[in-house]
Amino acid sequence: MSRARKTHTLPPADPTLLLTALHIGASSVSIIIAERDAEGNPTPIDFLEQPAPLAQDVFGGNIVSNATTERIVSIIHGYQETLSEMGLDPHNLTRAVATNVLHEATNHESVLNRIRIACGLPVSMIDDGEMTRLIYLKTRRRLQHLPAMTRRTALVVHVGPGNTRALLFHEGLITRYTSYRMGTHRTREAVEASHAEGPALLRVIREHASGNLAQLRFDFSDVSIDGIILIGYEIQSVSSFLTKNNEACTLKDFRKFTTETAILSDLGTVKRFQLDYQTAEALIPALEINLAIAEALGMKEVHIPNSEYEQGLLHDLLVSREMSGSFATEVLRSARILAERYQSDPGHGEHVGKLCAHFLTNLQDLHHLPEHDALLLQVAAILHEVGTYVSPRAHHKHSEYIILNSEIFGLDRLDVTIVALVSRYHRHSGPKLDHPSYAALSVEDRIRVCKLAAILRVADALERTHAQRISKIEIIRTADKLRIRLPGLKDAAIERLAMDSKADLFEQVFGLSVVIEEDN
Amino acid sequence: MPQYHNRELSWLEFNQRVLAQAFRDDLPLLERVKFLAISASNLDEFFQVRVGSLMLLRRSGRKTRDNSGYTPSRNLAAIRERVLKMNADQYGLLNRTLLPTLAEKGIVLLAAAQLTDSQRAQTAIAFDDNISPLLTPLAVDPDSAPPIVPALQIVLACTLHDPADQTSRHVLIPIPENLPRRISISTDDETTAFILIEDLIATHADRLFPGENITATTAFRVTRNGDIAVQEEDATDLADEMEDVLTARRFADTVRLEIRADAPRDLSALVQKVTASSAQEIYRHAGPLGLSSFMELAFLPDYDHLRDEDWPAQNSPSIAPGASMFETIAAGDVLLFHPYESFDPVIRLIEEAAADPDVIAIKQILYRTARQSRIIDALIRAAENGKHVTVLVELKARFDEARNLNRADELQRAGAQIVYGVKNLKTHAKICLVLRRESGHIRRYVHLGTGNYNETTSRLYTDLSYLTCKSEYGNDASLLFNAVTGRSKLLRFQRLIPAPSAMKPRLLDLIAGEAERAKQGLPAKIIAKTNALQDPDIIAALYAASQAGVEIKLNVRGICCLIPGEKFSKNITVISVIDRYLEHARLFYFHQGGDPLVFIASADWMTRNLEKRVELMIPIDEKTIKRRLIKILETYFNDNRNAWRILRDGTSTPVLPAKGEKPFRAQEHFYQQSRRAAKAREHERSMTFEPHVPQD
Repeated sequence: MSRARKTHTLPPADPTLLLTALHIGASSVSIIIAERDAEGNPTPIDFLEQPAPLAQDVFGGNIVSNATTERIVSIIHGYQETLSEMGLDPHNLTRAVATNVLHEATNHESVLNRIRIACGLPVSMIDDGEMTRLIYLKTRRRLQHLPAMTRRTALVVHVGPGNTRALLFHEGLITRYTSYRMGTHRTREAVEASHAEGPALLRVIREHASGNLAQLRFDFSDVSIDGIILIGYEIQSVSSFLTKNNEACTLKDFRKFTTETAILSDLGTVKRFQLDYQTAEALIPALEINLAIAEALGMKEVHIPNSEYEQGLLHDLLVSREMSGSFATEVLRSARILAERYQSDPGHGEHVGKLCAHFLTNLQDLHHLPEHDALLLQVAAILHEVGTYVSPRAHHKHSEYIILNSEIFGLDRLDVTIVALVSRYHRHSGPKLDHPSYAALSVEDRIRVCKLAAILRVADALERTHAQRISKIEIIRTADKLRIRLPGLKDAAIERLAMDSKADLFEQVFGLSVVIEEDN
Repeated sequence: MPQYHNRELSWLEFNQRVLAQAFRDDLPLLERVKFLAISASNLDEFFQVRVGSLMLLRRSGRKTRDNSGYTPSRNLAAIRERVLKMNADQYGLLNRTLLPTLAEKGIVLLAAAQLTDSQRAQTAIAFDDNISPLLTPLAVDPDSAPPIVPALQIVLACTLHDPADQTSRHVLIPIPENLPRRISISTDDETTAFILIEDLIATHADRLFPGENITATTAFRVTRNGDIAVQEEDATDLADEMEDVLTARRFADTVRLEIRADAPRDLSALVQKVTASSAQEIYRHAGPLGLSSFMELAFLPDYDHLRDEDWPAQNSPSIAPGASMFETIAAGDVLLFHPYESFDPVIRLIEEAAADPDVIAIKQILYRTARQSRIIDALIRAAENGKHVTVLVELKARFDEARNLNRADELQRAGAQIVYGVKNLKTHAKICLVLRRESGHIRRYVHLGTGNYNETTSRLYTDLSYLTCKSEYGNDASLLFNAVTGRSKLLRFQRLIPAPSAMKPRLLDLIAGEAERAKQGLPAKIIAKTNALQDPDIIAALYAASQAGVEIKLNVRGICCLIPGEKFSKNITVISVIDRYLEHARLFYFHQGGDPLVFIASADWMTRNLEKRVELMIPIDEKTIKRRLIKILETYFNDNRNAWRILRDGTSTPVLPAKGEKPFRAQEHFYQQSRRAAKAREHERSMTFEPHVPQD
């Protein structure tokens, strides 16, 4: 029997109209296919999801089994057929990402390599920063209408497979972001050996989470939370059993539901809630952790969105790179909170940021950096001197260390590394390959660091006085020079001196020596 | 504890209603013959499926009672008692009424003894030339294992005597299915005379055994257990496994032995032994066996005056003849009520999709297809044209497996992706999805129906088709196909309500919702049209709703395990409509406080449909279509010519016109209505000229 399909005569789909995002999640592999509507917003037209026990492998033995890897490969092959049916290139997706849970598998690289070899598809791992960004996007795009979000202070809690994140919104703006090593699948694997069932299982989960719960209670002990929104794969998959029409669920009902669900067998859970086994197995930890958080914060009711978690996540993946203005504002706010914590001079940081923005705007044809890098430069400008908190001596190195080990809302690991390096290179030595964090970057990212650091150094030289005395600059480019005119400044000796030690990188990167010209 | 009618007895009552049509002297004669044949064919299937599985249950020693409280043994005894009565009705009608009336009208069934010499000579030639080469007599050797006779074929048992050594022996002659049942006999007048094949063979069988004489013959027919299911868990290839099942079914255990009442005692005993039948499995008929084959008599040419007048399918006013189906559906949702309205637009959609360069994929579920299926031909063309064609061919569609297998093979050769159903579930949803690229965007056209994609049955069954390109229906259709092709788990749908995951809970919610409204003193009403009502949970919910005061009107063609007219069901009325078309559309109405919800569905209210099958319930929002569907539902309850009211004891009584009431026949009303609508639309079009304009 011939199974060969005839050669297709269909013209390929327009890739600017059709978008695709693949997510290798903790317990499933999913894909969304979306079309841009008249306003350019992606509208989902197809969504596929298949269970795969990735988190179970990772938290059970720190390794993804071959069987799971092959299951993922086979699922992706099926999805690629669907893409072909729609005239899309099955090897060129808008986004293809894997959960950050995969980071914890010792063989994560070989898993991604296998997928790349078998499916011809490069898959990157979502890191904590992007995950936070996605939660923020979800909150902005889909949770705004929830009654809890209209309250003065609302907490959005995402209990993920490995980690829990909490975003505190005050009058619609993020004021705090925390994360905890406590997740649905992580907890499930940890408590499995207890063989506890029913109420005993709930007690074991609660005990296992107690350290993180105490920390969370402490982290939010100084705020009065008016509403709490619980999001996550498992909890949203049973939300229709807990609430209708996005109404609040009382803690009493939530507790009763959790207790009733805990006594169901896995099969009973699968049947009752129409779940796959992977999700059913993580459901009890998800319910109990969410319940414990709500109780720890003294909430009387919780809001659980009735929307589909996974579909929403994939939808947001398609737009998370196109960061909106409000998102950039939140990132900068988070950077400012960090700068304030380390008593960095706010006037200086903001002013350097302004000067950087001026250079970026006026030298676009020279640096060709995207909008996202402009945001990273702004963050680096705000944070470049945080190292002075440790010591003014070699503070650039302290800045790098502090930034690398801090949470900046909305920035992923790569973004944070770039910000840390750009900050480090604002003075003294420029980038060198014997600097480990720099050397670990790809060539493209190293070039980004060089370009951004070169501009930061020039801007910082102009703000050597920390007095924000240069408010206006004019840039003139010649074949080999960048002439900076400073209207209104009679004597720029200090800036010129600073520039002498800082413009070296600019010249190395852009081939232009920097010359300061006073207004005379 | 809720009470339920016995499922099998309820089905037999339905078959009695079918048979009752054959008793009606206001119906044309050949239509009556047809209803007799249908009742016999229905019984064949009933024995293969229901009696077969009950016998397996009894043999396993299970004493579990069904919902009506019957053990398998008691159930089988009750079935036998009821079937014997039905058989007596069938043969009484045939012998006393139908055959004499047919003879009066010139259609004469001749017994062998009635043949003239010349007719006898004529049949001898036919026997030698066309029949005997196809016969394979099987000797019955008392010392060897008995020969296995195939199911549902008439077999002639003969006693042979050898005058040379004065010995006797028995042979069985199975009559191959490819021989016609009815052999025409020339007559001197204009009558159509015929003899049944088994009589002809009995007359000339001694020509097969030179030197021996035939001293006795009788015909018999075996029904075997058709409830042999494929062991899906062990099936590496469902198609191969299904072929084995088809073979096994022909030679499975006997569940019924039909034999002529006039069979000699020794031959009867022999047949019983050969077929390993117990006395409880023997049905002796006072006439020809296999009455289902009398169906072909109903289609005898040149006797149109003895049949119903033709009711040709009308063009739906929603379908513009010149426009493509894509244009038509894009202009607005379309509802078709078959067979009053032609099924052709549905076929056209698939045919146009096959040829349309902008169509990128066609996905379809096929359950029972026609012999010469234009739909499958179109799907093959589409695959050959490079479209992505995905077809789920349900191999477990009982008794249609062989045809489905052949066509699946053809489709696969053409390049279509074939899926042989879903493990452990039968895929019964009627859905076709066409993906078309329009101005760079993908638009999905969906056909959702209550009936199979079968051109033949679409002319005989009442069914509903809903055609739409609403994106939420398209999304759900994609999710369904992703799930049944194994590419995705079944996800939450926006609009469509699938079984087994969501349909039953939703129906129970809707019924409970009406009950709650009634309790609060609000008007509450449920109207449902389904082919069978058996699910105990649904019935219990309906009882509860009735007790709460909900007005419940049910139109159930076949099995109805709900007991109406009791204290707990006093607000429930059940009718059953049996007419020239087989009632097949599933249609549900929930009053919902005056903002009614209307659904069409592929599923009956049976546990097997709601829990063991992939089915779809489709909400209809479009106002005009919704109004029309409600009207259709209500119209059946005005029928006083072909409707039956189901009684408390499970039997039924015809609904008759009340004093002063005009006779009203729902199916005729629907036909006349569709004819008027088509004419009006045609007239309207003839008054509107469409100029040819130059293209850009």
